[in-house]
Amino acid sequence: MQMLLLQLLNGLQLSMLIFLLAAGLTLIFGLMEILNLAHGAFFTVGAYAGWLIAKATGSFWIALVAAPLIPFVAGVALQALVLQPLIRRGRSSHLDMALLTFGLLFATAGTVEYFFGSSFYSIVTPPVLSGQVALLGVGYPVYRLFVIAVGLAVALLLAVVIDRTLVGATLRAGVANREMVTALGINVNVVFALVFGAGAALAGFAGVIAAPIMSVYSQMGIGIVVTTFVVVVVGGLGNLKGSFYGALFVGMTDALAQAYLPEAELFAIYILLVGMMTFRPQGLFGSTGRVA
Amino acid sequence: MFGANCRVAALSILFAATAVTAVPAQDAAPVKLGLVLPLKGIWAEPAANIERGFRVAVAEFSGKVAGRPVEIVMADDELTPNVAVQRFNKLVQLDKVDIVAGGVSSSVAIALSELADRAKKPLVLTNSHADEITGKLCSPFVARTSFSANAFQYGAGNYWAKKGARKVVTMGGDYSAGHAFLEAFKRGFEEGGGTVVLQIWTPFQTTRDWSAALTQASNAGAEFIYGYYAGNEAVQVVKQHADFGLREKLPLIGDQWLFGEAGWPALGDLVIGAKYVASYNPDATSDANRKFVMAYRDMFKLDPDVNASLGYDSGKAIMLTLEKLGGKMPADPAQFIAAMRELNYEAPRGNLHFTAFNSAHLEKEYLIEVVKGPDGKPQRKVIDAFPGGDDLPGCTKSF
Repeated sequence: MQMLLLQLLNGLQLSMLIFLLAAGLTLIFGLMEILNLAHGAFFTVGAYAGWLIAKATGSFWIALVAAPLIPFVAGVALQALVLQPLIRRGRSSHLDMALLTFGLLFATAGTVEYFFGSSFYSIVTPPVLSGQVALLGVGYPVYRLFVIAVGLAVALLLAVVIDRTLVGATLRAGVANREMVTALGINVNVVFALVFGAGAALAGFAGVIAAPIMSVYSQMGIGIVVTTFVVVVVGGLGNLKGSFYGALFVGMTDALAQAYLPEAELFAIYILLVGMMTFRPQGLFGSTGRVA
Repeated sequence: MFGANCRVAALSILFAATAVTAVPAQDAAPVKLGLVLPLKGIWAEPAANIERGFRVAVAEFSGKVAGRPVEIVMADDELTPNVAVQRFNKLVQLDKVDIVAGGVSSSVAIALSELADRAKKPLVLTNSHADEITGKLCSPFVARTSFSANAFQYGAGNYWAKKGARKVVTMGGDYSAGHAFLEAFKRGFEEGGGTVVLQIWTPFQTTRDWSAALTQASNAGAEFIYGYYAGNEAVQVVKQHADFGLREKLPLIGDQWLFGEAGWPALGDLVIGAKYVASYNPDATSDANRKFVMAYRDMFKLDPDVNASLGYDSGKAIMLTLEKLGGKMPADPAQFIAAMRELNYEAPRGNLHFTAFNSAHLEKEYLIEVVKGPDGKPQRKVIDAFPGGDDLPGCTKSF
């Protein structure tokens, strides 16, 4: 019982971390239909920026707030200066976008390795969040509870912004009918670039959050982008609520497989993916109309 | 016009140079050593230390043996057997090396052993602790200057059992070396009267989060965790073990790879109090070790660690064998390894001699505790020393 509870917490913590990545990825796809494989690169860039800032200032909190700005700028620039011109020239198929961003993902890992080497780095856990709390007589790291809380807070914030604000209404309208939004006089290109940047910033934020647990290293974005894609597909492409539940599904599957079926750990989430694609290809919450 | 003149000038210099060196070139042709190591990627740091140690050994002989200069040709195996195979072929066919050394990962070493056996090229392994290399897969062309997994971990397991430990959880990467080391620990521990109550295997190189494994371990009712991890994985495991508050309740004990000096800066104060088993003690006061440590510091302005000592042992064994053979490679390459098998000398880690199957024997192991030094920095304190175990049998060839 105690063991199960701890594993559920571990699963929840992993879920919330993946959700931070999946949220940005699914927003970008929903709005622009870009399969952004470079999302893992923003995760890496955010983590390295966080590590450098934390080292320079000695503060995890400054790093957490400032580091996501770098992937934000990189995301806006990538969307406005590379992807949009490409789309204007008619190269906007999913394959074009996937290939370009796929190359970018590996180029980023290589560049990071060139400058920082292949060592692992770590951001020190801030003192307030170090230590354990007693849960059913077992110590559980405070920092991991913090990750869960941050994930839930971001999910709530995104839900409020998208459901209750004008910005959210514009986004939802953009997903549903892009031409109509343009006709209403909204500069879609600016909205696209900002959403792309926000998604990248969220990935970078996840990178800083992950750093005290999982370390900072050049290949960190490559593995996690695969898991994130599984989440987004399971949840339904372009659907934020789907990504939240998809992340829970995938995170729990992974953590419970690790504990109770270790032989299956490496492929458990892919079985989930195959099952989902076979029986419900639109994902948990995807609309049947969309063909990804 | 200008270009042609230049070429003529260059050619005439070249001719002049060959004219001068032509006579002694015959017997002063260099002995070429290929050194295959994982120079990039997660094991880049140990590989760099192995290379340094190796170079110290060659420099100890002033880079020469019987008047022939010794040349080292580096190759990167990228920690992948099929890449290592390509590098081996290039070293042998293109660079025409006389001896191939290196091999950190056992899977790389197994691929290279097979190749050396077929190509009849002497191969001297620096690390590669898998038991079967000098067991089932033994070859008259292959020697290992380090020690086998069983020698190291059987000794460690036996030591802990004799010290009164009864119940232990083992935890390690789910790959050949992880299994070889921890199964050997289990044999030693259980034959000494203890029980390994749970063995936890985590996916190698893909695990970043050890929470599930640590939670399982803490529920197993053991006295401590015995872990086998290296490099960056080791740092992660030690940190997360502390995150879960297990340092007092269920200590993590391991070997020189789990608590290797390379990881100390990343671990900070977490390393204080750590206990680990080591095959080499850099503070040993033997002449052989003092000489090695001083030469290493002179050359690289660094302190040697266990990997540096393993590189040195390999380099020195090769140089001593070459010296014995008068700087000439024997017509039958297996005779090179046979000559190495006869060596018996004092290495920094202790006496070094080989078994009948070309594996160096591990004379002594140390139990080291990391304590806070007077300068506030971590330092080693040797608590105990005990003999290493034997190699597993399995070699059916005779040579």
